[in-house]
Amino acid sequence: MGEWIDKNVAWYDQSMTYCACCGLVIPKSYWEAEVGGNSLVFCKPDCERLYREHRLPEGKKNGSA
Amino acid sequence: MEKIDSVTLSVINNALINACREMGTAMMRTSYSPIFNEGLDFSCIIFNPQAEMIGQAEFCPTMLGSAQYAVKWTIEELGLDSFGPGDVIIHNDPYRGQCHMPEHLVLKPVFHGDELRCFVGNIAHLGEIGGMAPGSFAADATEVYQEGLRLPPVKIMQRGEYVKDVWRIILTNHRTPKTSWGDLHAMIGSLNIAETRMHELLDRYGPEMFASAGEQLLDYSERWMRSEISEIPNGVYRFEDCMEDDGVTDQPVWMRLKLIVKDDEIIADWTDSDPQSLGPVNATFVVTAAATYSAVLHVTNKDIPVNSGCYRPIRLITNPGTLVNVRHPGPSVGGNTETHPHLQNVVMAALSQAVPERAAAAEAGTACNFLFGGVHPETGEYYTNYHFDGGGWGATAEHDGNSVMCPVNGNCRNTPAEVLETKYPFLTLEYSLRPDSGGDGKFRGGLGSKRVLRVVGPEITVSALLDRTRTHPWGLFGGGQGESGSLLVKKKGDSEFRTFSEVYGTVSATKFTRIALKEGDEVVISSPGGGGYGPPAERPAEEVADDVRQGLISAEAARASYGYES
Repeated sequence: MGEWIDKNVAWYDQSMTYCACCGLVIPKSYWEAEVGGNSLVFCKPDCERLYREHRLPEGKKNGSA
Repeated sequence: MEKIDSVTLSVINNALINACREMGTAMMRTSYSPIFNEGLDFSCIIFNPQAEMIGQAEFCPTMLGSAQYAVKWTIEELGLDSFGPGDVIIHNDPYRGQCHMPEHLVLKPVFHGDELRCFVGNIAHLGEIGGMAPGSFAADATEVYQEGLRLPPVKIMQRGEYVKDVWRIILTNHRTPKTSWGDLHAMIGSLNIAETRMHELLDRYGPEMFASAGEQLLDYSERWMRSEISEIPNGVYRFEDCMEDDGVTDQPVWMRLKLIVKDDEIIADWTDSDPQSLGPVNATFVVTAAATYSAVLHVTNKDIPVNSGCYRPIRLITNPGTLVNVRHPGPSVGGNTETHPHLQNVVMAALSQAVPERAAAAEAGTACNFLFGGVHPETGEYYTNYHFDGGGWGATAEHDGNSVMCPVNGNCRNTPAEVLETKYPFLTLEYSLRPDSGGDGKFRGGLGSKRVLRVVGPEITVSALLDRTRTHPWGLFGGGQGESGSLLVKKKGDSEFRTFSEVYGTVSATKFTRIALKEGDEVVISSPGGGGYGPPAERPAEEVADDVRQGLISAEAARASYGYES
């Protein structure tokens, strides 16, 4: 079961966090869930569902070119 | 709150839409730049406090699809508690939910009493924001820092007063600060109009009903969209297309789609797309999202209220660092006008495999971006302008494609020759339809245009970003492809037009920055035609005859494509 986590970064921080499913940059809070043995971050719980139903079976784990 | 009756819900929905239309009229009438008062390159929107779009009107699909991301980011980054009456936030950061750097969101919270009840917003393409090219379309940029001044969400007005430090930073970094000043005031003025209308709605219906109406409209749109998607046959549909080059290298970059229709949901999987390009044809995530939404809206019922609800059943999967989801600090200015229509056309082509009777052939797929600037010979003042030209749209199962229309992301208007000549040192030698540029078919693709300009001032610095000059808009189900576009130049004294690569040595003939044209030089901008639909042999003879009579196709093309003898 996932949970909402606040990024809790300083106001001057410019780092970017991407949703493991859709690839959207996450502004402040992310949904963290354990999927396939890995702790992944998502922009919303529905992306966790989509990741489990679509990316994981296709072997398309989060990645960037 | 109990369910609102359909009539009241309709009245509130239309009131929201009309408020947005009124914002647009104000923007058109009070803005300084032709891109706004002629081109209408902006979108006016209304959001609930949860950053869901509840009101919009007939503006630009790219902004209407991306706005919810930009607004959500703004609200989350700053926090709802940070907004006060009279505040206006400005934001153009492509990595924070914007389409590309020139697109600026201004957002105003609307308070009723002490409570924040909604947001009103205006996303508009400011024609000059600094960066390495006048007109801020740096076609050979390799990072976002070359594209102009990047603003995270910051307050530009606080409690009705100017946040002068922010204004000074903006105006110092824009080449035409007077124009930016005027255009930003037009944008903020439109927000004030919407705020008044929202107060009227809140007074009339009360905040509880207002909030409930927004939620019910969102759910209604979602239910309707899901119902529409359920009518599309389940399946996996694939298509791909490329940007012919990226302005920095002469290599194509590919977008690849696997579209999954499953019951009442659509999943657009773009993960097989190429790595992001060096040059600025990358799309941000929100551009890819907006393009996907747009295509689905094109093949579903046109009466679905377009709000965040109708987007809920349309899901995207992308990898950061690819053409369809650029990773910082990759450039992306061309992604919104050039890559977006390609993406939309790809989704449409995939959907054509499922619902052929609803799909359209490919359209021109480029805004023929032509940017220029210099010192005006009559006023002595520096000017810049972002000029774009429409192209042909793809034909459908029921009608020919429209001619010389803004690409599908824009819904903008072409600039009249008179306006160009009045404001800038150009003489229009020709502005015409391009005969034979539409793909042949039972239904013909729309035509592109040809615009010939002569420089009548001492010097103009030009930049350009066009695509579909070597590739073609495809046809569907036997329809022919549309003609490619082109951008050519003839220096004073030369006998013929040639490409910018041939004359000036640019890497790309159609994506470059800062070429200085002199008095007497001429430029030809030719936009592509749209693809045709269905076998040409099935086009009625009287339609072909009419096309020939109107000069839309030549007698030779009528004979070769349709077997028609006049």
